[in-house]
Amino acid sequence: MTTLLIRGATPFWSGEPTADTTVCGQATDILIRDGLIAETGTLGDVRGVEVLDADGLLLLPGFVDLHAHLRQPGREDAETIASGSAAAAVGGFTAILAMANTTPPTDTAENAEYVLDEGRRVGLVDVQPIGAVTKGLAGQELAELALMARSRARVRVFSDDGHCVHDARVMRRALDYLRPFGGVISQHAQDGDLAGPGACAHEGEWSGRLGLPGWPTPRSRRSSPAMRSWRGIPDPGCTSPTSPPRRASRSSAGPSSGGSP
Amino acid sequence: MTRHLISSADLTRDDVEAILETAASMHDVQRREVKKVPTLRGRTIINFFFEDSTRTRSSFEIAGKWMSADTINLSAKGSSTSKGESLRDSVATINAMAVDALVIRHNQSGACRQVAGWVGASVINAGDGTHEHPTQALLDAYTMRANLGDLTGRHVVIVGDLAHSRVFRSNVLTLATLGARVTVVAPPTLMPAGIAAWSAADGFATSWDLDAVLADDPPDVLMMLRVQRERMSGGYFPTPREYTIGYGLTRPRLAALLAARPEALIMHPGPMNRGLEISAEAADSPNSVILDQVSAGVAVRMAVLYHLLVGEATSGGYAA
Ligand SMILES: [Zn+2]
Repeated sequence: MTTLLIRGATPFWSGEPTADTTVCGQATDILIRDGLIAETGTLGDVRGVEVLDADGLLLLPGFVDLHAHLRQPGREDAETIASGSAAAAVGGFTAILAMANTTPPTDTAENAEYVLDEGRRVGLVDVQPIGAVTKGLAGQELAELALMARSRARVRVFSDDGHCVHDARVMRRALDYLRPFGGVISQHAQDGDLAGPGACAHEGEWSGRLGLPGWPTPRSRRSSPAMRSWRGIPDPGCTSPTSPPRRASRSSAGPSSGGSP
Repeated sequence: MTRHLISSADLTRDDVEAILETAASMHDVQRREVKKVPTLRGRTIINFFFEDSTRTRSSFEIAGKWMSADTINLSAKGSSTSKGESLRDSVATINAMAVDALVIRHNQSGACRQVAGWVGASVINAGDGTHEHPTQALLDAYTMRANLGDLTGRHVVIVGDLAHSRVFRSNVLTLATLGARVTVVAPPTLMPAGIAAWSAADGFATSWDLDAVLADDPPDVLMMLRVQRERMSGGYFPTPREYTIGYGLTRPRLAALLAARPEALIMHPGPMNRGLEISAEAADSPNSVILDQVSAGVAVRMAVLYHLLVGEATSGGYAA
């Protein structure tokens, strides 16, 4: 493995943020050996290493994309695991979670391992498959959630993304069922019955002015089955795709500091 | 003036005034025995209609012919479009023939704007989806002005399926440009999304109650929009009867209107559903200018073609 010396980078976070720490720490040199941070501080001449001059640059942890569409298998004309990995790497993402709405969908352990293995073969970023909640994304019967969780892919995030799990009872079963292995479900919170087949814009003043059929807004969707399925079900580890990252609210430099809890 | 006419918002007050003035002289041409003027000799206009329309297409066709342009009609039916050709490819094929103007009707909102980015010709929107129909708004303004003079402060009430109406969308823009006061009336299900913010920003009024509008602020112009019968199957209103009682220009409503405003104009962009949104008494009353609208349509489209294709050469003030 190579050794890399980053000179003069400013880490975005130096350790766990506390009341005293500022968001940005002191500029520092960072020596990375065999993929791990070996030394920090002001480092003298190190011989035989690749040096990256990061003077005036921020050093950020690798980003994780919780919602990527790699389209492979089935729609390789649109995107592949290789092309999506390359795009992620260029943008600073070191891990991407691949949504399950491929053809066939990621609704079995075998399909999940295929995505995992293909991601490893490409080798640019960590590609973690998301498993389908229901068989064939059809919203009716649970997919093999536990087998996907026990597979080499160790699936922990499940979603029928692209399709809403409309049936509140199915959603409840899924949320209950995954408690033993601690997974989470990401709902595609969109109610197709509320919009016409041509819907192509957020419903509101501009869809009205432009004469475009709109998707109703969350406010007007308050009483739909999808929203009720969200609200009516207590606890078991369901996370909303929009819940804010806990640490970001501490950031004095972040765009949405002091946001919702 | 703009090179294309895609939206009524493209036209300044001066543009509208110039078009309406030219339309008046074109209207005189229409009354002659020999109706041709040589203005567009050697120019080619293509009417490309992806959606059926007898009246708008023939109006554009006559307008082009009376101005001596070579006018060709294409429809989506029986064309390469029905064989699966994309809009872009269809338009590129026509563009390669070096035409001067492309009059387009399409069932998708925004199609004309998109085509305008692909071609060298002037693009004229003859109705795009549920978005706009700017020449309709111009011919409506022409008809109103011919009867009322200056529209500043005049009250125009537009009633009907606003959500799906491109006539309403273009009219509300052109009428604002000309200083008229506008109130739009529809049941909540036929109001466009976001109309509250939109009407507040653009300065027009909205109402669910036609009788209250007629009583409180009797209009100078009452424009009834066509209600597509298929809206019923979409559940926008329960029955035609209920719609007519709530929002139709029925005989009692006509009487109430004329009692308050004897000179009020009754308009309709056609084709009418007699007995649904407008009663026969209203459609055929002396206050109805519905056929004037049709007649103005040709003159206004001649004026639009003139200003887009040769206007800058003769009137100097218009940039291409
Ligand atoms: Zn998605």
